[in-house]
Amino acid sequence: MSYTFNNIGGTNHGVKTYNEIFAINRTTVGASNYWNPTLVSGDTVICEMSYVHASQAIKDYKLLTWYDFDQGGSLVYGSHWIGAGIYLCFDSDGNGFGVGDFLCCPLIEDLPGAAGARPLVVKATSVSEAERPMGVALEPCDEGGELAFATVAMMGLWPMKRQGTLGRSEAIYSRTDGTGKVDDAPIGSYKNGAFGKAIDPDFPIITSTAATPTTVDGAQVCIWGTAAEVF
Amino acid sequence: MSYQALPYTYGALTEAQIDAIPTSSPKIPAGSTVFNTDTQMLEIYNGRIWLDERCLCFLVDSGVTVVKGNTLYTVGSGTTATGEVALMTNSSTNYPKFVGVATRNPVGGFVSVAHCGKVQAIAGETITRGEGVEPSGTAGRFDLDTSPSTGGFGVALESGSAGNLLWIALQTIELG
Repeated sequence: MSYTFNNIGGTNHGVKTYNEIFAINRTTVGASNYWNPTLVSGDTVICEMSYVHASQAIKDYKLLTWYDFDQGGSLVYGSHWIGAGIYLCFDSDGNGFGVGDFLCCPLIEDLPGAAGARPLVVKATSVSEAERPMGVALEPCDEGGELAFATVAMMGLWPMKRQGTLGRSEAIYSRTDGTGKVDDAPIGSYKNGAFGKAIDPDFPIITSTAATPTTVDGAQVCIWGTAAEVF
Repeated sequence: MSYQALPYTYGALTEAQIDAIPTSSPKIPAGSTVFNTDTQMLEIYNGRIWLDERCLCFLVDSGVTVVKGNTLYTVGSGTTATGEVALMTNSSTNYPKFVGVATRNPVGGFVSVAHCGKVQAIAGETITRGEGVEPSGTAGRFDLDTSPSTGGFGVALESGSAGNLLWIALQTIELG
């Protein structure tokens, strides 16, 4: 780790966009969001989320730290970008997920016994799971993959896959169909499962590693981050 | 970069000192950082305003006056919803539109809005520490919610009177 902090904001790598830090094509030469530095545990970067409203660019930021969860030991958890409201989670059902998938807590009866201390996450396949929203995946987890841990953002503004059009005036919920998408239609009784609010209703989520990648519909949604619907 | 007590662009400053940093002459780069000693949080400059990590930048709706501590919601519904903010009211139709509390006075029409965490908000009535809080009948302020239910959005962390800036623990608003 460098102790010179000689980039913008006193960080190691200055300001980089969400797609430079997290999109799965970020290390493909020729991609507009190409960024492939050699990272050392403790390195810092400022993650930029931006959108245009009324012809005005609006930007929001997060300070991230690259952290080796194994601290040089045998590979178990790996190294990840971590920050306020970001948690290293376990792919509970082994079905995998992609960057931008919204994840929920699995039903208790489905919990495996050897999940370790990490939070368990799945793409919701029922109202009961969707009523336990956790956050959005920042990294992919392969189905049945060897490394079943990935970071999940549970607070603040993050891009996520959406179903249809999200209204700026509506609360946002996880879908219940296992797609990992979010919707502005309530999923259960009352408003159970509401977790946030759409800030930028159109943010394409990159779904391939090509320099000119494929994308699916997405949005930037503010995950509220504290408390849950109980009344 | 010269040595600072903390490795941030402007080190550690009070909120008043941060707000006094000239940002346009010379223009400072987006991504500049400072530690706010009043809130004890890192703030990052976005080219318009200073934001900490519980805040988002919003454009204030035309003709609306917002000050630090106002509770805010996004105006309009359906296709007319613009994402711009105005003073929160206690109408239940506004609950899903609640976005949080202004952490500063707006600059150039843009305001930083906290959506969670410890934040100072303007009381609409006499407040007792430890009680729940909800939108006030006075737009942009908060009232006590002694029987927490729909509309509740946190807990009062200190006592005070109407018009005071009081610390609250800001949580998700109950939609119910």
